Amino acid sequence: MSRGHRARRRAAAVLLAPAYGLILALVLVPLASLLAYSLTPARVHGIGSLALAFDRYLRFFRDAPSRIVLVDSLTIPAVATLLCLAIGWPLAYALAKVHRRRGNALLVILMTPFFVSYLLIIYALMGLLQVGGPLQAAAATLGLVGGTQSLLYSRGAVTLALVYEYLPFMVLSIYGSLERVEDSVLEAGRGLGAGAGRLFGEILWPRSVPGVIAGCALVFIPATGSFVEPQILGGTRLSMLGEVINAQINQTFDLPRAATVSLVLTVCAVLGFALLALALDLSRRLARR
Amino acid sequence: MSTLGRFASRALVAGAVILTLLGTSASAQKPTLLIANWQGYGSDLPWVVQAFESQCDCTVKQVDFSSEQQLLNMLHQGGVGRIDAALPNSTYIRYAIDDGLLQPIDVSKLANYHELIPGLTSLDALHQGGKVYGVPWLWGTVGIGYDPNSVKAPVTGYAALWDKQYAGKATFNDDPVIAVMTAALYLGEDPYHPDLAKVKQALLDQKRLDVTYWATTDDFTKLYTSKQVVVGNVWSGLATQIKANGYPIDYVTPKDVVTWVDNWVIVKNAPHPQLAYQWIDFMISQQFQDRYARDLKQQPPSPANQVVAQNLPADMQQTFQPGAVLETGISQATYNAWAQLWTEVKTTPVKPLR
Repeated sequence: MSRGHRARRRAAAVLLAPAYGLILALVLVPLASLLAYSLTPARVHGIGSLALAFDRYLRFFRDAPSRIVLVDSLTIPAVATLLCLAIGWPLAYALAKVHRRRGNALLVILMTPFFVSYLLIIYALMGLLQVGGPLQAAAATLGLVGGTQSLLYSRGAVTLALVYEYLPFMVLSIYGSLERVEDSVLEAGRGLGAGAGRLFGEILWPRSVPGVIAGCALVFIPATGSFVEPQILGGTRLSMLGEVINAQINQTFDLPRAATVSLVLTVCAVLGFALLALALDLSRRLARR
Repeated sequence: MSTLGRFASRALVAGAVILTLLGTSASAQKPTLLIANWQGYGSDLPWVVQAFESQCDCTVKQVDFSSEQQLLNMLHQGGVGRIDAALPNSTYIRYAIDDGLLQPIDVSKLANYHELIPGLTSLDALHQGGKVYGVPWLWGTVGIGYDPNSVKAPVTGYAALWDKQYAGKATFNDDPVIAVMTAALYLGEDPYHPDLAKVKQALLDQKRLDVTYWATTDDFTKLYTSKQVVVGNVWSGLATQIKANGYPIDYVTPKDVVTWVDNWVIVKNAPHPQLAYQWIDFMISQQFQDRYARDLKQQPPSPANQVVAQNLPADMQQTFQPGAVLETGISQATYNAWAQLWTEVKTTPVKPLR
């Protein structure tokens, strides 16, 4: 290694130190404190044992309702993520490749929900979904639901809210990668006789996968932590772990248990996302072959 | 409370205090009374602030809290020594006394104290070691509200919330203490020491009838006025408010009814104790209590001042029963166990009855 190279590396390390410091302070330290909290004996006067603390994790998994809530907390965001992808990909393509000249204006429109509080979005959705609201009335006219049957307080209502809130993240991520696909490549493909299907399968999809993965991360991971949406729109028949964590902090004041549930949720969400990302990456590799 | 939450509430108190100080310097060194209360709960009404400020030659500032727990956190993390008076309910006042956050109140300094309902001033929760720590202000019941056009069977007790004919048309208040006490009264158990296994099963059975739980005024009002529910347990004042807005609702108080009481306290090391006394005396005066209780759209609770209570129109009068089932006197440990049970009920899936 040359001296210049080493000096450059040292300079890079110095310049990067603040960034690494931030990651350490804002990601690793909070996670470590979460772990420490989850292993603290709760409100036990006197000495608690570590076994008691681990017992909290065991109890979580032994408890059937907790397991059901955990599964809901992962499947609902997963469905919302896939819906965001299904709606978001064509939208991003349209912005990046079709309406390029009006692209910026359309992007601004797409971003509008960002400027509205998510609580307002949820309440607006309630107006659409409640009995007599436009969406409910339309569904009732089509005979999908009974005339007095509300669309609120259901899994579907929560999923819809999550899709609405997180769709812009997905579109922006995919837009970023599709915009970088050069028109000349697409033209070359067309010139060589590729139809729309092959252009999508062999050029557009593989090149968009990094954006899709980023979009899925931005939708899936925060959505697993939702608690307001299921609380307001989910009724009594649906619960997500975010609600449990919120209740443990604000009603029960059981911080160790809240930390336990938070860690379980974090680990499961990351694992779930990793699986999704692997599958997406595999689709890219297969397409390249 | 997470570190972040702790920081946030500390920042909140600090921010409120800074704003207060800024306000003070602008208004020519008048002393500033700092109170803590729920937002929109009487003490921050313009006419109230105006009336008091002209009496006391001071400025009133309010810091809002949105849960009783938040009030305790606020006092623990910088509120003591800055906030003068606060409004905990009769469950939480005990914790505030135990944690040494309050100072005893010399009731002889309150000219209107003798007008308060004796059943309220004598509550155990407001006393410790022979000293008074809380002054009852407003109170109310959590009875049953129902739509007289849809509910034909006579409603007399909490059993209506478990009546299967209202399956898919009922709602229930999302609060651990109210939930456990209501279920205990329905089961005929001792509301302060019920059999928790039975209570849990009863709450799970009840859950099968609900459209959803309600937590805020807005939740209940939306559910009820859009006719998605026809029966639910509800605060007396909220039922009055809904009726005042032109929706039919009947309110029934079971014989043993869950009851809450909100009380003014003076915080330990309050910077302006004399102003705090003046404020509390104003809050329990006929002047405040009568006008506030008659404002139906403000979700009026019942006044603690009995002179005012007796002069209210008949349909607004609620009698405080000495045997009322109070959300009070339960220990922290009991509260924690109940809150845990309520979380379990909320997260256990049930098959809805339709």
